[in-house]
Amino acid sequence: MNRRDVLQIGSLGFLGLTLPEWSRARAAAALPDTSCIFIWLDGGPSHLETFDLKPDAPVEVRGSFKPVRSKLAGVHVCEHLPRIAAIMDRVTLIRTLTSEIGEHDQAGHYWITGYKPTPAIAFPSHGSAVSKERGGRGAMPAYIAVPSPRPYMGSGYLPGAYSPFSAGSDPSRPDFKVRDLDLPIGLSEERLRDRRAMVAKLDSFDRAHQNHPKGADRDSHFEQAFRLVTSPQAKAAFDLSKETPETRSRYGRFKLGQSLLLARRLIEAGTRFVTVSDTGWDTHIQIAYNLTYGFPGKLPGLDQAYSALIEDLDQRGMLKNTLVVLMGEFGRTPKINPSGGRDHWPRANSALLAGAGVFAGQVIGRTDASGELPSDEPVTPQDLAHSIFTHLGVDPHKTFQSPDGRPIRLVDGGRYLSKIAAG
Amino acid sequence: MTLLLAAAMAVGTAPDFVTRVQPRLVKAGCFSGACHGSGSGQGGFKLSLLGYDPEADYVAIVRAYRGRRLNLVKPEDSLLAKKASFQIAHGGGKRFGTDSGTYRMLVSWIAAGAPYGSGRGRRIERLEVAPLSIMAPNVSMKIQLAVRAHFSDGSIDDVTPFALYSSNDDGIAQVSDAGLVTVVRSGETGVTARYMGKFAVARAGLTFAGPVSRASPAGAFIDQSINRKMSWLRLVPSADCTDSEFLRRASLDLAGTLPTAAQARAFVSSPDAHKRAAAIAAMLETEDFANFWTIWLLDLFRTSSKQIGESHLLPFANWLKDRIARDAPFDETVREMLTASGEADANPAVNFLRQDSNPKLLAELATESLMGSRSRCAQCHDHPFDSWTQTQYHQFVSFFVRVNRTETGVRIAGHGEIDHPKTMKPVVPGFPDGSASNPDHSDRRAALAAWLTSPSNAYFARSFANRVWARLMGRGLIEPVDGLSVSNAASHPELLDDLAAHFARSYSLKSLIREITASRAYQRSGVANTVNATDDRFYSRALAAPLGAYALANAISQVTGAPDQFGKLPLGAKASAVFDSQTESYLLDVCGRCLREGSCDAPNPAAGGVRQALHFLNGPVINAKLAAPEGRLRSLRAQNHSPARIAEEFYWAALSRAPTGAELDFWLSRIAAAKDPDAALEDLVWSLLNSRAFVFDR
Repeated sequence: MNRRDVLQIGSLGFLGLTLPEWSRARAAAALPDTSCIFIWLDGGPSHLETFDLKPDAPVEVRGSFKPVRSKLAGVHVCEHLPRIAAIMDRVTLIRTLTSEIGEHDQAGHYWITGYKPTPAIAFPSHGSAVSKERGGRGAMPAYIAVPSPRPYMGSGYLPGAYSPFSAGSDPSRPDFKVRDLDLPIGLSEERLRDRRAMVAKLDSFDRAHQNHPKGADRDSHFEQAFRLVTSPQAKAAFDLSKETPETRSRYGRFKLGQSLLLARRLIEAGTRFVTVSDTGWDTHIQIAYNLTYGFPGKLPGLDQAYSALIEDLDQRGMLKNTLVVLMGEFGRTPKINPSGGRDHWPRANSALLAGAGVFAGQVIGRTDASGELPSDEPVTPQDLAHSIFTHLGVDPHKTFQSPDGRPIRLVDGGRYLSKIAAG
Repeated sequence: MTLLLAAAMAVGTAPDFVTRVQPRLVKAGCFSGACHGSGSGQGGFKLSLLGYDPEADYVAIVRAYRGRRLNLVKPEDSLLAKKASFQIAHGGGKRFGTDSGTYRMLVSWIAAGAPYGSGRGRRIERLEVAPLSIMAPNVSMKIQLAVRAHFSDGSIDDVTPFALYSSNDDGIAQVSDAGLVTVVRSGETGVTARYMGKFAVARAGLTFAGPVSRASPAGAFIDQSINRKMSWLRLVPSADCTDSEFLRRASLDLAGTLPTAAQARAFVSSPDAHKRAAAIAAMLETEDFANFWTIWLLDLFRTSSKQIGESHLLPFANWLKDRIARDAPFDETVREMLTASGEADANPAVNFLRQDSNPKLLAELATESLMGSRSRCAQCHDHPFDSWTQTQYHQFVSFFVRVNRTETGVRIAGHGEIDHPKTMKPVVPGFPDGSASNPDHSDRRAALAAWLTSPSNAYFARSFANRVWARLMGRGLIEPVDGLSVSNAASHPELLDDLAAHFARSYSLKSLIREITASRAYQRSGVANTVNATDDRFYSRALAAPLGAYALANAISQVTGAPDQFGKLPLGAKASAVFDSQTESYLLDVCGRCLREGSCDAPNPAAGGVRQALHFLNGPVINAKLAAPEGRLRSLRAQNHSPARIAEEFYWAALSRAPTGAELDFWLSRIAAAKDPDAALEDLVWSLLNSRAFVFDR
């Protein structure tokens, strides 16, 4: 135990954590080789229609969905999430995420990087920081976005080497394929290797761009691309046809379902951090209709895909090493608006966390009678970042260097949510 | 208590809410977005964000809940004073102690009956910061700012402890809550003080390691300004770029294409002393120029065929292209777009207003693309670091509220208003600079267009001058380019003024481009010297960037001599003629073209990176072109040229120069040792197209 660890005990003690609890948290954090699937419900899913229903509130607050009992005693979720209700004993539900930013991209930036956006510097997403600190295993890219990253999911001030590899298109499409993985006819691996050496030679003649950071990024991208092309295992990870039809159907033959299945395959193959983005959660109009209509409908689709992922990871013994986070950039206004929808509401929001030492079956925090504000245990983007990094084996107190040599903290304050591991 | 009162008396009069008490409470954090300034307030107590609405705040503090927050008889027992000083439980903790000046002022204000304004009815007029310019002697030195508020009655308050401070770039200068500035590295940035909605900006910096020198008076206004700043910062500029470098960068910047090998050879060997200006003049008249800058405008306006319809995109693009080609005054272009109505078939300019059916989003598009100013935060609250108030936002929206998008055009309704979210009453059109509009006219857009394109407008010419500058110089005088605001100072304020004035004289895009590209600053080398390696904003060296999607696709096709297929466009169409961002092209996608689904000012995160590397390493983009029968490599081989000659041709085509001795030696020895010389030559071209010298724009 070094001095920093001792200091950490001190600060955790201050937050009301006993030593055994702290040890459990540390033990959880010290798990070897943890990875992460971060499911991003873009647009801001309503906490009041998913995991924080208010059946006793006036009708303009509670909306039209009914709560149903979940596997976790005393905890109710939305009637359109029955399969998630059945696995609530395997996850931690946080009902008190809170921030001040109610604009989509800025709010997304805040939760995904832990920093408010500023024009002076770009901040790295959690996936980039984890990819820098832990790297991938084998030939797989350490950080992959399915189907593609949102603008704030990049590497920020970290080198472009840690930006996400984009799977490119919707994995549920019959023609889904990651492009350019197969060697063209007539080109051998050896020749590709030679060509890379030739480029390096040309660049060594080039004084003007020798220290350009984007030049180093290019080198790293070619290196990663080369590893991918030359690894049959890596290429197979992207091939969903290697799954049984039953498994594919269990996850659901729609974008989110097949994206989560792909995410599981990528983690299995050695990727450290997979972000899965799903769109269509920005329900300003007719919220009840827009969360359920169509095939499969936002909530039924989420229900099927997320429950399939958790059950599958659990069954394969991967859940203990895989942190699964489910959230969007904010919750939605407590009062239903005149268009029958709900607008942006960053003060209160819900998230599900599971795996990688996260306690199975608990609720952290509660909001007030109308779901407007946290009544206790407010969880900020910094707190969440601190906790995610801890469970992924990255020291949240770490300091990085900006390109101009300035030290920048990985997480600006925040605290470890001790209850996550403690239960 | 006697002492406290004596202190209050000493100032002359009792403190008032607006000019004294509220700013101190703002400083204490009570009005922040995380506390009572949030949209819903905190604990049932709601204040305006950073105090932009003092009248409402006064009511919330003094009158709401029948005045239970104040105790005029026993001021120290006031809930406000006890909570803020944490004598009783307060979710926000202790904001200030009972021994603080803020506490004493609060109590004496309550004791005086909690007046709203001072007896003199003074209003704040301006904020003054000193020193205006700080040049720190070393990195550890700390400098204290002094901030003074000037009021309408002539009174002046020292508000140094109560102003809010922020640095434009913490990487250069940091500023504490108390206004203490620490410069952390060489360079210069703005430090903003804010008080009662007014701003004052000081510049703080540290010199580079160059020798003390006097600014060279030579050159036009651009170089004078750049040189002055460099000499103030003791920066030493890089050398001039070579003719090859100049021609390549100018062609990529202006036309989005490479010079041909023949053009490059002719230019380099020409003895003409004015050949650089002549080359610029010629490029400005090419179709490639008009195409390339049309795409720039389409990106800026986010014009997507998804929004306006596939059949309308090309006519709108061609309308812009024609205006660019003949250098039609840009103010007129914008006026026509803003005031057009009727059928798109008859008047393609209406398509600008067909890009959204929501007047708020149209108004936001107009402020962001035509004014370089982001207004959207002001929909919900006054913009804390800009001049946009919530009222001004809605006043601006009201210019667009009667614009109706139809399937085929734009119709103007005879009525229609936008309501203010607070008063729920219709908002009269008005401008963000406070000038009024004519609300009688049913079509309000003419007034808006006239205001926006007037030479005295603070946004239009400046934002376009800044955008064009950023495009040519690699960095805006204001960054980000869509972040023009009073709190975001330009790196060279007088240069931005001069450029805007130059542009506003005739609104000629070509003249602005000529002026910038003629400068020494534009024509510098990218190779750093011992002093300026870390300079990324004072233009002492050329700032290189990877080629954009359109230029990169053009360049690969030009060097290989093999055409691309873009959607249903004819084979061989240039990438920079692909006006519709929905036109299918994996090459353009992977190289990072903007899909125009949001602002194009931010890079596309799904582009570049490993996907692009895979495509270049492994995909057909280069490999198939090398093998194309009609391509440059095959035809040079067919003519039985020597490897040295072929290498030379490719260097001229790709880099606008001959290979150096070392480069040529490297290739010739490889080719000589190769079993298959054709394969070795393919490797040469492939490597050249993936080298840094090729993929960077300078």
